[in-house]
Amino acid sequence: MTSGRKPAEGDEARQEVAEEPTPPTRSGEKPKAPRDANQALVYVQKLTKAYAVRPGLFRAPELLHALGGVSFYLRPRETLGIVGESGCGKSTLGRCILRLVEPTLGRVIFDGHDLMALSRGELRKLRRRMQIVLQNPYTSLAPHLTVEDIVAEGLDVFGLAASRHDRHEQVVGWCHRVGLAEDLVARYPHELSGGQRQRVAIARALAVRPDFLVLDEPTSALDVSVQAQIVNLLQDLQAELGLTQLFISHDLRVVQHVSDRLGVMYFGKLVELGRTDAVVRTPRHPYTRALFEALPSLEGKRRTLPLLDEAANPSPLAPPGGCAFFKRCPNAEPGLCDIDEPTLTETEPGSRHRVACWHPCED
Amino acid sequence: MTGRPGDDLLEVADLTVEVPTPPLGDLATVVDGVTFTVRRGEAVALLGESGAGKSMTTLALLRLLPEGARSRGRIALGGTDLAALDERSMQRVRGGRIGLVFQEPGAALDPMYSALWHVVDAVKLARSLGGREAREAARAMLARVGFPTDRHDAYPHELSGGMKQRLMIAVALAGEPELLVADEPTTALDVIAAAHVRALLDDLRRQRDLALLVISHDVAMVAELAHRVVVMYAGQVVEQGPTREVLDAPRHPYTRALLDCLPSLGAGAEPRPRRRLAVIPQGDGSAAAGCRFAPRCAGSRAACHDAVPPLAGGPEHEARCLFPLEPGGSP
Repeated sequence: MTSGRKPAEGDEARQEVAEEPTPPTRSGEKPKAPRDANQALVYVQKLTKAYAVRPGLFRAPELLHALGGVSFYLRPRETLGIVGESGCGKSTLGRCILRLVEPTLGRVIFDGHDLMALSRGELRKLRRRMQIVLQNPYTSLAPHLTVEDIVAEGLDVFGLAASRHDRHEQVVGWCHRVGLAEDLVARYPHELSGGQRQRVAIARALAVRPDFLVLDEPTSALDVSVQAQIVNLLQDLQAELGLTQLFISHDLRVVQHVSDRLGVMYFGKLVELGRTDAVVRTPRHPYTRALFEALPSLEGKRRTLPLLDEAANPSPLAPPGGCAFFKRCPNAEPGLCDIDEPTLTETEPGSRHRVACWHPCED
Repeated sequence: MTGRPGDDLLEVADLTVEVPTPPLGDLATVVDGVTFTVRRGEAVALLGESGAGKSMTTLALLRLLPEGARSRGRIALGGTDLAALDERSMQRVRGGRIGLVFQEPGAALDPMYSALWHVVDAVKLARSLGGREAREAARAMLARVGFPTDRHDAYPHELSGGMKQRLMIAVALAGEPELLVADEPTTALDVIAAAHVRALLDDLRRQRDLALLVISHDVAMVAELAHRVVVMYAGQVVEQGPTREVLDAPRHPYTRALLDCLPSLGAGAEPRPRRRLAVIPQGDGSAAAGCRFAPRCAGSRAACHDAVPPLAGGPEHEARCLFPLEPGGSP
């Protein structure tokens, strides 16, 4: 949150470790041409979004804090998974990064360009390189367009098709790559199954040859057998096209399967971030641990830890001082956790496994 | 999931449902000869993907099928043939002997009324109690499902998904049902709220000797909650048996495939290229003469396309497959 709370003493030492590959250019600077693997393709810095909402007809507008200063980077060809429960701000995050929703504060550097400093025209040009695939393929495809016109939308906007014939060839090529039969290009969305529609949405996003793909719950509306197909498809395409991906989902199983690194969001902030295997095997934040604990187990194992109180979530209209997880946390220390907000800090120096907690869980 | 189930409460035998399909209203068979039982104190799950016929099965046993649909077969609750009841008596069964919990708790609640009102209303209807007694009973019910006292006067929009689902469960319990039917009770909920609801359903089943029929697409949820699982595919039961047996050693290739396409926890530790998820090939067998799953089955042979295989292998664990999988192996 952006309240002017003074950092307490000792905060200094635990200040956020500067995200590793961070060569953001100053706004206005020319982009650097080569990108090596160490350089971040996407660098997100203290991204914040607050909405003005009216809590009642005759009440003054208040600020709803959807996103409270999220920072991370994405290396080229990397998949960062973002997981969290509904209302944690994960979708807002995806949209703010692409400036589909205007962030209140913070910066996004995409391949050297400060997206917040760009004019509409400049941003529009960069949009080709940043695409999004949404959850619901039933509402995200225009019902009056054929599959061909949907997939070609980006080609038309960015003038990437040399001729009608070329446009058709490209569309058929993409349909082929995402596993859609060629004869489907003349169909309308309502004639397709959920899985086919999601393939269309993926083809549309990829047809403009983006570098960066935001996937917002891309498999959540699908049956498990279809979900498996789409997950495999996304992984294949990523390897083939060298895509950088931000994979947002509430589904822990899917996210940890597809991501190299995993970020856990709670109440508008990242509370844990690290290599996926580290976060899955040794979750440090009590909230992350609770999430994994709450998953039903295929083996039918019984839970070992008590479930967290589900009713003690704070209100986004009045964010608490200190840690937002305080009231639900088994490790909470009154007088510390409810006063000082912990920042994302490495669990051990050099581990790159970061947690925002004063009393992280041990093994 | 502990405790010994008692005698049969719900018996569904050879249930077939046909529904009219657009544009001409031709009847399509969406449930085809489904047979299963639920005992007192037992949790049974109908497991399947969309189009498997699990929701239509549920609607048929509640006699809530859509206009123009036809159903055949025997549905009995504690020996009472539900098909033979007149509509008034059936209304008393719904919300009485059978309680209902749906996927979207919000959709079943009236935004104009408080949480407590919903339960009071249900208690009055089901047990014809007076105002004061009904309120007492409703409060007790809300306490039973872990609904916080200070939220009794809250309206549905002020409640979280998990709280709404608790409220729905309290409403469903108002008639002191013998059978609780829960259609995807945790699908719309967040991970932690879903775990709470599973724990609550399991508790209620044990303490009230309630029979629980859970309809779900979620294998892991079924693994945690159900004693027995009935796997459905394209309107038919393709496998059924004790949950652990079915999930540990599935005999039908569809059940095996459903398990395999679920990402396992911890697989993320493997370096790229990752282990791929198993995939069921596309294919439509709904009109096939033989096994409905044959067009998508890796192990299908010529005989599979001739006639629908019978459920075999019983008595407890049976599968509708001519070449059932051996434990841990391939066909």
